[in-house]
Amino acid sequence: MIALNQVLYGCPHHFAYGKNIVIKSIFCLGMAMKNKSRMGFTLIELLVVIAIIAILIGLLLPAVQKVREAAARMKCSNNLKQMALGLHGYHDTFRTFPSYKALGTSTSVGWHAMILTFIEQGALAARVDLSLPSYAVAGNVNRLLGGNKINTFLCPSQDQIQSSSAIDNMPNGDLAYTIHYVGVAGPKGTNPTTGTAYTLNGPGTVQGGFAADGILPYHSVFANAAPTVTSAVRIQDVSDGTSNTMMIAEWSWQGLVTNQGAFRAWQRGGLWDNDFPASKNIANSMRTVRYITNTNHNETSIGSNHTGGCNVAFGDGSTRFLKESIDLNKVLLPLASRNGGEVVSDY
Amino acid sequence: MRTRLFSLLILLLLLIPACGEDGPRRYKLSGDAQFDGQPIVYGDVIFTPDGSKSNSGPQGVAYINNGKFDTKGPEGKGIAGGPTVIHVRGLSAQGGRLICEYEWSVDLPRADGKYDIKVPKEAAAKKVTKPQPEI
Repeated sequence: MIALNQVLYGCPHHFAYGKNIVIKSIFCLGMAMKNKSRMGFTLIELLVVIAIIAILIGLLLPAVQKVREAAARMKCSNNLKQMALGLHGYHDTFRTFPSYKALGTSTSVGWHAMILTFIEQGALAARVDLSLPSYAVAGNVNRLLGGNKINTFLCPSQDQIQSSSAIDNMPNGDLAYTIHYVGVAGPKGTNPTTGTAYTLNGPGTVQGGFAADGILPYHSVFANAAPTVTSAVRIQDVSDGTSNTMMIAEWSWQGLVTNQGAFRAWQRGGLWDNDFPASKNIANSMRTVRYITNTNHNETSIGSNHTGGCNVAFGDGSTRFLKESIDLNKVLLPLASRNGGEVVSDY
Repeated sequence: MRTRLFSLLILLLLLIPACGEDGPRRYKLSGDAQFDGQPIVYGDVIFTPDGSKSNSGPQGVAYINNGKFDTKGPEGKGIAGGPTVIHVRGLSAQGGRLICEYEWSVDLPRADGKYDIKVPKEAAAKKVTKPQPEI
């Protein structure tokens, strides 16, 4: 009884001291027992808590990664929009999309360097010399442009932002910056509606040739060969409708970095019967064909490091995310052609 | 008990987004890849649905490693089947020089299968007539 009273001493129910000791002990003993069991967690409880925290972190991390990637994709889509508006600005001023001059065997700089004024890079635009070739001649001012990084030309989802070609290097050995977006020179293949082959420009076959039916094809007239398309494209030449014709596509997937680097300096135009870094033929599905041993630079696949497809700017300035699983012959080629008269099904 | 139910629920929620893959049907294709009777060391095979025969679908790709290719391999993509243009490029090694390049059209079944690639001797790499550019 003494022991029991000692236990009960700290109990707040002291009011009933005396006769009702039995009732009181029922009342207060339970409380004492409860206090005793509160002294710590069991191992199982601890493990359960740790497991729940682990699951919650497991849920959170992929979500964070997804948000980061979504932000990168939006930035990329915005870059495309800027370039598309830049091309329209160029068209408003010069009445055609960018046109190239034949200078030796090389063209003048690529369309990226021609729209600089229209994407708020006026200082750089003033340094472009359209009377000089875009290809490396030591001391050529156009070559030195490559050392300037222009974020609008770079997709945040691709870490390789410099040219893989040593001839683009600055005189001090620094690497030149590259582009992750290419113009659409046109489709290469068969028109699904008419069954005829799409036009190729001149004899160029060394790097896959030059497609001619797009908005930004290769069209300079060289003395040694006559291209099929000799003048720059105007909006009225886009008879399929600008909203149905691809103008700029992402060209930044990882396969262009591995094996043999395909990235080139951003100011480069094209070389006659050879490579054309500023635009690409659409001959292959996204993320399928890599660049291999100087044979196919002009028809390497478009594509991006975004999940499931890539961003594309259309001729009307709209940007859309095209799925990688899109049909090649019935959708992708027709979208690349400006005047094929194809009927494109839903995509 | 309640915590166990709760964690089960979370596990289920985790599993739901992992299901399902969209896009057109693709089939697996694998086999040997030889040039003039010898296995091709490294290279790629591109399977393009033949538009001139009104075939359509996704483009397939497989990488050749020591005389064998498989669309199921790393970075490979399944083929669409039907009339297909097969384009093979054989290299001396990964990142090496071009040994052979060949393209032909064939009707492939719309099912998983095997197909052996035999590149004839005349497909040896074309001589580059122009000087190699500064690329």
